[in-house]
Amino acid sequence: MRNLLVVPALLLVGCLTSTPFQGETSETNLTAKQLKKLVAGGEPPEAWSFLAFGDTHDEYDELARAVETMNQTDARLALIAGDLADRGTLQEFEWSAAQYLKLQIPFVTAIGNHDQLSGGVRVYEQMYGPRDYTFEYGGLKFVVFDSNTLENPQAPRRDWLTAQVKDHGDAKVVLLTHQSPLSPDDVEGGTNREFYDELLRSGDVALVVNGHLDEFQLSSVHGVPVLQCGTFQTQFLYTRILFDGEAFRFEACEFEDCEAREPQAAAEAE
Amino acid sequence: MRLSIALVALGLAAATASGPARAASDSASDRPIGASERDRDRLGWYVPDFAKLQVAGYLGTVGVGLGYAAFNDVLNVSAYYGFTQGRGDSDAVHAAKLSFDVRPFELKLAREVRLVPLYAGAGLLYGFGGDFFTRLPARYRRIDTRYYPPTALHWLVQAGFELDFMPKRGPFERHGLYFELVALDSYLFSFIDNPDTVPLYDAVSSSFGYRAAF
Repeated sequence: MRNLLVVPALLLVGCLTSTPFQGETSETNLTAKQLKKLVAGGEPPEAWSFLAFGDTHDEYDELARAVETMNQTDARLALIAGDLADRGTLQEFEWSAAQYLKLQIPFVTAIGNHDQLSGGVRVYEQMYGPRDYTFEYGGLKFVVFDSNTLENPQAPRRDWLTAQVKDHGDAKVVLLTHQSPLSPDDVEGGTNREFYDELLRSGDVALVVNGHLDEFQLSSVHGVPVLQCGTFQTQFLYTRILFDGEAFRFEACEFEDCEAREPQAAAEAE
Repeated sequence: MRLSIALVALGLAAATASGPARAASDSASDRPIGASERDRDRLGWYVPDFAKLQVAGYLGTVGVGLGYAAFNDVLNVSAYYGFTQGRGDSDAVHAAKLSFDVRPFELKLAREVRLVPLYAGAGLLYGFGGDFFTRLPARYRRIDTRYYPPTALHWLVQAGFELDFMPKRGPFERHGLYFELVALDSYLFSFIDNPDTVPLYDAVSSSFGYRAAF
């Protein structure tokens, strides 16, 4: 009987949503909190693994299912390559974050182009934190940045990104972003592709993880593996990346079914 | 109290603005609305038939609307303005809504009390502001003409009920209190596609309001 009353009570009181166009997030500073959790877990062994996926958009049921299988792996970190929302509304961010937070391992996110619709930048920054940031863990320096030039004409912040990539000490640099460095959306006459090509050619980047484009693709550009995660919304894929202190190995997984993948040489920018 | 003063002022303004039409109406217009009647154009066909004030329902923290009733109040067409105050880093939101409702039933509960047990309809919600667009900006059209759906526009469906009090005299035909559930396009699809993770109470908004018919 009590359950019968809960539904109408929630409908009457619990969902007086004033607008889909703005609002306050229920979670704040998730990136900082997740990194704190990562540090609290201690340094990993020399060989360790992390997960990568992106473009969950509005596919929450399958995401919940995938999170359950991701929680069965030995990974210590999850990278989410953007498009946490579909139309950038607060409610979509809430729904996706509810599933990400079920991950038992820490996770970090890059902002996607869809996340910047409908004033979603404010929602993202309130819920997760800055769009450009770095952290080091397990011999890797992760450089996470906004690459959505059409939504944010200042992105990518080239000077900041170049400086972060150069300043890595003994750590190897992993770039996490949304747009593909091989074919980024750009303004007419834009030079993002050439900029990324130069960055990969520098020898300072060890791995790129990106989202945005539908297909799963693992390329090798100037000897740098570039992992395009494939749109989770349609393919339900995540990738397990094993780092042995020197090199990376990759397994593309659809729930429990994982398959080893090798980087394929990609056409390089002229 | 402040709410009721605003509502009365809204109704009176509408009644005053339609002075000549009111003078031209026949004397029968002064009598209470008949048992089988649901709406009468006492103020002239061009004067809106009702005003609304509502809370939430994706329109805004508060919204006001004006509308016309047709086919003896079975079809209502309304235009709304909604406002949501700025919070934190977010600017205030201004929104507009065009809505069509069908109210096929009406029950007489007492001499001066009627119930519209169910009405249903659909609407189009528009969000003002630079963060939203209806026409895809050229930088996207260059890549794909269907790169994004319009972010300023959402369609809505709604259903509700209304309890009306019919005054014996005065400028109002009825004072109505209504409750409705409103579903937003993308949230509704998310609920349908994700039955295990998206609860209904996240995918719809409830709304309360007052409707003054004149």
